[in-house]
Amino acid sequence: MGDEATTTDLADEVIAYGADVAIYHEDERLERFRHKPYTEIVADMARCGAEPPSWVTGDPGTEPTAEWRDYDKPRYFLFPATNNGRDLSAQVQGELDSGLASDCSGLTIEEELVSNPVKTGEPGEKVEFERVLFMKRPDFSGFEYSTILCLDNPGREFHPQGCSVIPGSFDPIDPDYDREGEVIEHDLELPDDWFRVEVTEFDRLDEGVDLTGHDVVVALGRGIGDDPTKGIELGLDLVDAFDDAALGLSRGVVTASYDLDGHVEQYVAEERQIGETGQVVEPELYVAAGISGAVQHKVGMDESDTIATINTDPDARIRDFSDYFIEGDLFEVLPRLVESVEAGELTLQAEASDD
Amino acid sequence: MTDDYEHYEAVVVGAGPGGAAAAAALARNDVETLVLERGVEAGSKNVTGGLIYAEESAPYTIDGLFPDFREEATERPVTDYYLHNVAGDKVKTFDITDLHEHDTDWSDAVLRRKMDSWLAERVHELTSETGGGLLTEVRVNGLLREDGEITGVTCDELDPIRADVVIAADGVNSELARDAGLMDWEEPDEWFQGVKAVVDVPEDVIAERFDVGDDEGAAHLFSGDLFEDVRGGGFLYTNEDSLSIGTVFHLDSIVEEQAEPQELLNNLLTHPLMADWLEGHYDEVEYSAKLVPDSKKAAHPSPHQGRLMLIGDAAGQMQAQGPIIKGMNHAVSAGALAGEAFAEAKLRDAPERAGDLYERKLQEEGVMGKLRPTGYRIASALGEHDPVTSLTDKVLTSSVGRLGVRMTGGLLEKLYSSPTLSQVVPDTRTPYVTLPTVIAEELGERISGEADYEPKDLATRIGDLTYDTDVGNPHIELRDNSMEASGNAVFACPVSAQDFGGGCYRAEEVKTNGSEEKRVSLDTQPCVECGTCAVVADTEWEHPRGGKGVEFKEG
Amino acid sequence: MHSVVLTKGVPDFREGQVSFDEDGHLERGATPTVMNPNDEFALQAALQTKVKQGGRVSVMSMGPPGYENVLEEAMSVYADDLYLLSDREMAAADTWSTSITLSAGIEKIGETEEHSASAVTESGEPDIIFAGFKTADGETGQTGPQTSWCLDRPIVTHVIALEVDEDEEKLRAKRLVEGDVDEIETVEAPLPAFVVTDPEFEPSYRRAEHRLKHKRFKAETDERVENYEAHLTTWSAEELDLDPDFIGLDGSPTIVSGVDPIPKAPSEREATMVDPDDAEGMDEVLETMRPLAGGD
Repeated sequence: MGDEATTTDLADEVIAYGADVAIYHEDERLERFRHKPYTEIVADMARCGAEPPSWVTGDPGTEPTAEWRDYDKPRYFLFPATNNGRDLSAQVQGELDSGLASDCSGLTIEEELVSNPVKTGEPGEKVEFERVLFMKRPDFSGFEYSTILCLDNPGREFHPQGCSVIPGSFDPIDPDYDREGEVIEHDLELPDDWFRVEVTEFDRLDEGVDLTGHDVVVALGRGIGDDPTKGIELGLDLVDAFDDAALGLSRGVVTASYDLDGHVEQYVAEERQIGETGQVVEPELYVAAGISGAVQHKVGMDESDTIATINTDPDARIRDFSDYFIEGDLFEVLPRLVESVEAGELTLQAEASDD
Repeated sequence: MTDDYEHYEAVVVGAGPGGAAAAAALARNDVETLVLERGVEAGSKNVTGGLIYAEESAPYTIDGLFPDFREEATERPVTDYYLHNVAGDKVKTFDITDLHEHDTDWSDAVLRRKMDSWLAERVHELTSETGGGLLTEVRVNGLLREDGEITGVTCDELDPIRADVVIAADGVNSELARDAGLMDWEEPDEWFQGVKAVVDVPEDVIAERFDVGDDEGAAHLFSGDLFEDVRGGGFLYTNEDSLSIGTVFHLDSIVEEQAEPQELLNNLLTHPLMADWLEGHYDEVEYSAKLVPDSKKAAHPSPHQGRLMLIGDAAGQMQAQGPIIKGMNHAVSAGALAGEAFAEAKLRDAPERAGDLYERKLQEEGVMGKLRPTGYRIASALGEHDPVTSLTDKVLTSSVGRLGVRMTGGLLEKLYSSPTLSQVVPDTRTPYVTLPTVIAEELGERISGEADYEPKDLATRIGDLTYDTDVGNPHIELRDNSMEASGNAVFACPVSAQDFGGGCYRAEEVKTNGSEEKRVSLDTQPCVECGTCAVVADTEWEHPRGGKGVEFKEG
Repeated sequence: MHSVVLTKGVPDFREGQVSFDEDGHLERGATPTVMNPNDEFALQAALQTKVKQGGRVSVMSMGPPGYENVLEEAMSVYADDLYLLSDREMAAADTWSTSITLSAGIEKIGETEEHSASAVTESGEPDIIFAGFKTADGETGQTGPQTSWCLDRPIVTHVIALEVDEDEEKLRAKRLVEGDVDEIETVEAPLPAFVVTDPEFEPSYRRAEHRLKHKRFKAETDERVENYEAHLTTWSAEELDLDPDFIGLDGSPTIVSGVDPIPKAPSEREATMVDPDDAEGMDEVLETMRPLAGGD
């Protein structure tokens, strides 16, 4: 859905990425997401234009077993778990009188033997449900994974089985722009009344540098003081050696009065600070070079999977929360790490190509 | 949108005792009064040594304005007052209770968080009756001027507010006083720096070790050689279940001697006398610091401009009467007089006359006379010249001088207790260092205590403080990061030290085009907002936004 | 303006409060129930509306009778009155049957003069419904949008700033939008409306008179909360005229089929000391780095 600019290439693109059918609705008023028209359109697409049912009991018109429910397509309904996608998923599934799980990170389709009497209708008996979408999602404030199923009741069918998916949880397949698929333009009258919420302005949010969500964070501390420019350069070299890494700084570096050469000056800014008053990161690997390890720094990184430290002072506090402590000068150790990681990359590639 | 500005008859900036007194006086005269306080709670930004006095000769006292004040908001009264002359482990103690009691109705030890927050509740009740009230977490950042005239205040958190009178009770680093050009941060010799540790000690231990009953308390002052050559002294006051232990030094002397304030405090904390008192109970709960104006030099003789009146520390109204420091009582007098002045001027339909009236009242009620005693000007003209100091010191330390000290021992105690003399002693090292040292050496007894504890290091002291850092919005900026301009802050700042990287100021070797240079860098996160660096370094100094920065729990 | 704030009781996930069994599963019984932390922002938005526009703030929750302490906690932030929708039939509801139940409660508020205090709606329904974004337990973020769908109200979600214009009967809000680039949208919606606050929501009081009023309201609610039961109305499924097939577990399309703990990073570490000139030691460190190699 969207205005002309949004929808034109999108249909082709989703087919390239594996869709067999792309349905689109184009309207100038759909330039930005709005709950009511977006929900109505998607629900109508799902019903293939059939009259909406009344899921609340009593209203005349379609019974819960209305015509559009006679076939079970679409069987699953997947939405992106973004701010707007999550809202849309909830309202569409509501409109279709079905259920969903939000923010899923894993999906499988399996048979399931169900004993819950609400779903089986017969206490004590087990009933097999076919092609059930198992929706795995982190919840309980990150303490647990729950697996959610959306199953019909004996007297009330719940489909499509819906979910929103955390962006990035699944690797996209390689696009094939020669792939063919059916593109259908969706047709529906959109009453003005649906556009009662008006978007009057929108501005890009300047969030600065985001250090979270990377595999690796390379963080530099005041150990770079002997030659700050060189120190930053070495840190950046190591960042580049990894597939997905970011450069972080201790507060000491951010507040220092270093004279930096122009090409690295931009990297020394508060937005790269890690710690209590900066960003909190939990990468797979945290490399701390020349950081003494104040408590304020610790809270910004100690949830990292592995912490490797480079420091000349074996009594530095950071040792208490490191997995590896390389006792040495970062100006000597960093270049060697860069070399080895890059070489390792080559070895891995070589091994891969040998297979 | 200027027509939309709110208006209150009076805006009082700062909810310390001065602001509270002003607001009470205004509210009692039915003046619609809004009080704006930048802390999360009144008292959270305030530090005192701390004794509060009620003087017999004062026009107003805090308990006069706020009944139940002593029951609800103070710790212990001072019933014993001692001065310890220290030379190494030799101590000669003078009982100066007489000096303390001169013109004193009562005097209680206080902790500012408890005291100011109690006052603020009363102030809010009183001012709410007038259509105003007290708000916390609002930082007034300057004066609202229209057509060149002061017409109100501007704030970080609120739209500008118009007022018929603005009473600046915003403390020693008053941004309003500086906006008006009435006060500055230029001369280190106009300031003292106080540093304090609050140490939790159980009530029964205090009673036993200081020999005080339930409604009694002790004050102890220290001078002599335990602070090297830095001019100033130490203090200990008993609270209900804690001790306030601290030091006060001339800021210019800290700079000259390149002294580390927290180390000087440690000297006091580990002195044999203190070791006996604190044995097994050194539980330091809060480290704090504050700049103290020396009213003899800094009190503004005409603390008003247009609709603006300054009171308390904001106007430099802090009296160092020899070893005894009186500030809060004068702030209370000045605040109530300022409030009274506006009410009277309003009654005469001439609110613009309030400032002049306030100035006159400060004179007539004797407040200004205490803040800027005439005797001091004559004595200091003679006494503060280096040659004179050196001469006096030489005489004192010579055998003749020492003989004199021995012979006049009893007389000295009396001399120290003279209120007239104590008001006019010159600010040289003679009374602070040389004389007490000689007294202790000649007359003192050896004290044998040894500290069974290590004073907390600076990193721990900073770590124990509560901060709400305004991330990305530092309230102090270094205008000049050369050692020459700002290097003094590295040691003079009470939360910085040479060879310590975790404080506000640190010196760094920086490579520039091949050559190495020493530079000063600043991290405002550990700042306790004392204002020292505003005086000794080249900074752009502001308070943090409302509710941000350090939050003192004791004060 | 009459605002209704929706809230939910959740396990207190703060360190020291939350308990897990040997397998790492949450122990519900040993973990206290508190008001969902994100709901505080919805309450703040409702209180801001009351400070600036006047009116009333009601708080509503669905849950067992034990949830009264959750409503008490809400009142300690701010509430004029409290509603608890409580019935065995409502138990084990997913977001859809919860939304059907809550919307019935909101409609009932509008139906009787005693409960209705609307400024703009003809039906007497509340002018604005507020909800927080996501509960700390289910973390779905679905109940707000679904409840608003049941009520057919204009909805604005992820609200970080809000102004209500009573004369024009509309609200103006800033909301966060994620995407390839994150944006802030300014939107206008007619009243009555439904607002979901973002955890980034910040109330705005730029006038001293509003802050003074805020302080007064807080003092009043502090006093009221001492006797919160006197301000609490409890409604059963029958009183709400709800079909048992549409509420609770019976009305829920989804069920939870399994729960697994998520492993946590080690809380204590012992550093392996590495001499940079010791090839073997360095190799051990590099083992952790090589799999992450790549780059351009």
